[in-house]
Amino acid sequence: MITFEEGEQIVKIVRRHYLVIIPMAISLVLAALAPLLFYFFITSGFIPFGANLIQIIENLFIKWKVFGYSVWLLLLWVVFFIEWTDYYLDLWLITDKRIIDVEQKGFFHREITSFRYEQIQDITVETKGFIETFFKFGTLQIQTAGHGRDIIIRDAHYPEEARSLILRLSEKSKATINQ
Amino acid sequence: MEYIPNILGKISFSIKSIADLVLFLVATFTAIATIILFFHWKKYGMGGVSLAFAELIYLVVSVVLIVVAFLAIN
Repeated sequence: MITFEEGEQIVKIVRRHYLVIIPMAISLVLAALAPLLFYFFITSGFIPFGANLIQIIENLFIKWKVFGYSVWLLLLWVVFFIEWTDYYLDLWLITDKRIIDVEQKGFFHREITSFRYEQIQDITVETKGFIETFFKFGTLQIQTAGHGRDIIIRDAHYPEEARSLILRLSEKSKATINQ
Repeated sequence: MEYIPNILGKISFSIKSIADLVLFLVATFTAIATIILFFHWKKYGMGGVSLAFAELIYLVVSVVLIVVAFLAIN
């Protein structure tokens, strides 16, 4: 659970772009179509299977298609949401006091790192290729003092906006400290 | 009722009983995954309309698929 300081306000939540889950969604759609393709492939006579084998498969499909297909779709549905959760819970919380990096790695592994604006040394935005440029997402990297590693969010949606916001909040925070 | 070949020599399983077992296992897996998913969403999801919508869609479709599978074998 993320614990906020007293009076801390969330200014923006940065998530990965939805396009990053499209390949996974496409592969699940293909997996959903696989039993039908298998059935048509077997019964089309493209590969000469024995008539008995084709008959057995046809009988199985006729009697158990609704059950088998709904169970198969249910499994794929759950797998989709497990993957979607992995995507959705990977986020940055930009608050008025600090940045909280929440990294979901699988079902039971999470890493939560937070750092204050005073620790920020540099922010880099990298947008590579046509797709990232067209759909406005890219890699946002923050170098910080006191952390062993850089804080990186890949495929962040609108990284330039997030960068400007962080810089603005960072300057505001530094100005407050100097007063 | 159809029976698959008795490979063990002692017990016979009907296709229906195998289907019952498969449905039970898949429904159990779905239930466990659902509990964990909802736990994650409530604890770390930060709320919001899209998450509430996703929860609703997930639950409705899952229940419909389990009911369809159950009705198909009964």
